[in-house]
Amino acid sequence: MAATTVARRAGIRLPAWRADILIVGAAALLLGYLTIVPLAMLLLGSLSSGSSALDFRFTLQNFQRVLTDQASLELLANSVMYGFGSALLAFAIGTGVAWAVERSDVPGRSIWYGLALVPLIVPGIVHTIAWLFLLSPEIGWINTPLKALFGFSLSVYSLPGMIWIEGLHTAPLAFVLMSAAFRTMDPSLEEAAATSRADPWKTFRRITLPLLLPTAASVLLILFVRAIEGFEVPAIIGLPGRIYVYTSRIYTSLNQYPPNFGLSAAYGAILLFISVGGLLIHNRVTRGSERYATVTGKAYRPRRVELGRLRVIAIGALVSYAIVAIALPLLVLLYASFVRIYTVPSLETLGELTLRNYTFIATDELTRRALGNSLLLGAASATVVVALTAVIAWVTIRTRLPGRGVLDFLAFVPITIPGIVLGISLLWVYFTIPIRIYGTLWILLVAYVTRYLPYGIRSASGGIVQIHRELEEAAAAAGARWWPTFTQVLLPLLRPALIGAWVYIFIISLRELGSSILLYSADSVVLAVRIFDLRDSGNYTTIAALSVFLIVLLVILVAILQRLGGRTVREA
Amino acid sequence: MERKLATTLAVLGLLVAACGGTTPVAQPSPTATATAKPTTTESADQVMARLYEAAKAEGGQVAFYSSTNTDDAKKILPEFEKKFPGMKVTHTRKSGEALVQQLVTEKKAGQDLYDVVETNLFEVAFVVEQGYTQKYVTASAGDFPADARATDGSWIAARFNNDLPGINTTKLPAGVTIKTWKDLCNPALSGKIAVEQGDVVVYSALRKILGDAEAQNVLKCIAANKPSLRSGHTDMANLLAAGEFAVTLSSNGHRLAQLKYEENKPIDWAKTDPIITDVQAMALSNKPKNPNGGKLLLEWLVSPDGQKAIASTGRVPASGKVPAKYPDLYNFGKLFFVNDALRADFTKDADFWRATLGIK
Repeated sequence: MAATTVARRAGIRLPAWRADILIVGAAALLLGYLTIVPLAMLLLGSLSSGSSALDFRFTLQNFQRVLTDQASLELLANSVMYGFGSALLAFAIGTGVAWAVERSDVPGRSIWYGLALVPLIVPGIVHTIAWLFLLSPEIGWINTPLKALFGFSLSVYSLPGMIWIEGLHTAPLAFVLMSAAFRTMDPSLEEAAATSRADPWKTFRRITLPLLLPTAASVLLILFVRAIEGFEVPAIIGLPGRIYVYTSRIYTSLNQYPPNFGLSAAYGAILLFISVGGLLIHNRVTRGSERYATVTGKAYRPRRVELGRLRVIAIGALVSYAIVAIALPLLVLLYASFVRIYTVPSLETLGELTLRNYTFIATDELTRRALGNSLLLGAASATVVVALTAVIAWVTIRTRLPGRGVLDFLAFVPITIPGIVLGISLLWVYFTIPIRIYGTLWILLVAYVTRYLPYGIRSASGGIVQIHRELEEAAAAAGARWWPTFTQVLLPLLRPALIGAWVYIFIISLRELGSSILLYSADSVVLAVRIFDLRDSGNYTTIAALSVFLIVLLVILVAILQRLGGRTVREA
Repeated sequence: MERKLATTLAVLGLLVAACGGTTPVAQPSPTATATAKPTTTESADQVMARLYEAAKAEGGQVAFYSSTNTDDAKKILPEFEKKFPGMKVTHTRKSGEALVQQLVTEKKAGQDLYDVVETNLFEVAFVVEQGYTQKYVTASAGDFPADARATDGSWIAARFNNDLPGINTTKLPAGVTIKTWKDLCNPALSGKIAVEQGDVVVYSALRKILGDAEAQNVLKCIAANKPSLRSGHTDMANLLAAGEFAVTLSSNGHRLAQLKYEENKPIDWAKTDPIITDVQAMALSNKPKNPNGGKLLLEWLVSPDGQKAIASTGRVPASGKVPAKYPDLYNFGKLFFVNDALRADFTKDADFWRATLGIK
């Protein structure tokens, strides 16, 4: 039997049947519990008029309302426009900055590279609130002079306003993905065009652009899926402006009186279908991209375009980007954190600066609890995901055990589940299963582990593929059993990939809002939720202080982890 | 089956009550004499002393789900903890609808995490109707007007929210005055109004005060002025003070007074007559984690000490025995108390409210 042979070859001295059951069975059960059960419950919830899956009473009423509601087309249109608008803006900014840094001779490339990544650290909710201070119609930093000088203002509470904020926040992701594409691009075709006396524009249009198209399509789809599953901008900007998208509609259908759990599940199911559809198209696009084989993993050194006199314009654009994406949001948060009630800066307000907001967050028990919970959950979810996915990756890559492909699939499925959809799905799970963990840290741990499994599995699989199996075979030949081989041979070699995944999951856990907002209680409050709740209380200046604190905390954490992990973390 | 029957009877009761109360009636002021008697012969202090000992023995904790904003809760609840050393109140703050969602979700998931819930009467009455609370008559109930409590002990209010149109005096267009809700229809206020999107209760009250047709017209013309839809009254009042809009359909009077008198912001409010008075009801959980702690907090909040602590924040205490800090929040008109009977038409009112204002 293949499984027995492989298990023996890998040094497993346990009887083969036990290895099969223990490893694949336990992992499949756990992954099924984490991924399939919530999705099944979501569908059952959306199709039931009962209060739990055990009380299932079939109805199409929720879907009927979602699909035939007069506002449903508007909801779909808003979601699609918001998703594509944000994706296009992020892509344009990210690609522009990536091209300048990777393919032009603009000076100070490493500085621009670092600056372009800074917004990645800032949590979405903090970024959104900063732009609320900047673009509020009457009291925004940008609108006040606009109104005084030109008599008009830009309303942040609009679809363009939402697209601007989301696009600006996801631009660093586009930058990272596109700069990798630019860096690994084979320059020989461009050089051939240049020797054929094609001008730079023609070369870009006829050579560079077609070569980048598959990568660009893939990046755009990732940005689209990320935008439509985002919750912060739709909730904070969209709701006051009556611009509803699926995530905010899920939230409002729960927060109306009385709450409608079935309707929110139906909205969640629709959003899930869109998200899955987007990723299926993404996979289809990237699967056919091998024929554009000039963008590969080989270490090319692409030719840099000499900008000449355009260099000044490029520097000006990069400086403008740094001001808009980094300096302005941070400055407005810093200012707001030192005033009692937010108003437009004036000599009067500058004379009334106070530390009251910082005193509040230092003494507020809920904020302290939220900080502790966030750090604990971040560390726990990162550890669980890394440990679990290391084993799953080993099973899927090193063995021929039946069902290993299913394990890989199950671990990757959550990439398609938006945070708020996972939240509503887990509500239905615990309405049905008598495990009393709603409102505790445990349910948040379940949610975080589920959400971040895909990052863990991709990192661990990528790491194991690069390690030749002969090292494990040598250990087995020397008489080592599976566990010592796994822990003493494989794990040390996998360490860089695992540390990278751990750090990444830890950082993004600290910013998680979409699922936490539906699953927390006072005892299990986390930082992003605390900020969201303070906003509901109108404590904007306190939020500003908490945001400044959170940014400083994240920068310090990233710096420490970078120091501990060295190159590994930087690469992650 | 029994629960369904009870719910049906409750709904029928509400319908009957609603049918009998269509005429707008200004309710007695908070100083009106109450008639209900507490079920205990102990004094309020004796009851609290007894509950305090029992509460300490059960762990000294209270889980308080309340819409009181964090700043005011930080002034009120430490007074309770000071009076009863060893007691610790955990305050979960959310707006009414969000609080109900949290509580219902917890109950459906088999969790009993709260001891006392306090928010708008509409929401608390819904929670009571679901069977998630228990009756408890406080020793100080007799100090409270009839509109501030259920006679059977289902709920009692420790405070009132006076729902008043808020005004930023520096942002109000020249020549515009706001004396009544109809004044918000002025086209000069287009794009300068904010509405709290969960304020269906204000529309329900306006229907009783102005009549159906007039209330509908007022809401439609306010909607024509393209109001900004906000979530949370404190948030909306703070943005009003910052100058984000010129007026609000309905702000909590105490927050307007705090901004005007304590923060020196250019804030005022319309002197409407009657004054929509939103009763903030409290109820005890049917399965409290800390039953004695929960009862102790309830007793204290409606006691003279608790009422004084509430009044010190600028909020309007519900007891007739403790005066409010800012009498100009309610001394210019009759009080129109939001009552349970208004809730009978909630679905219809909510649908009209959402459709008119464009809330999905």
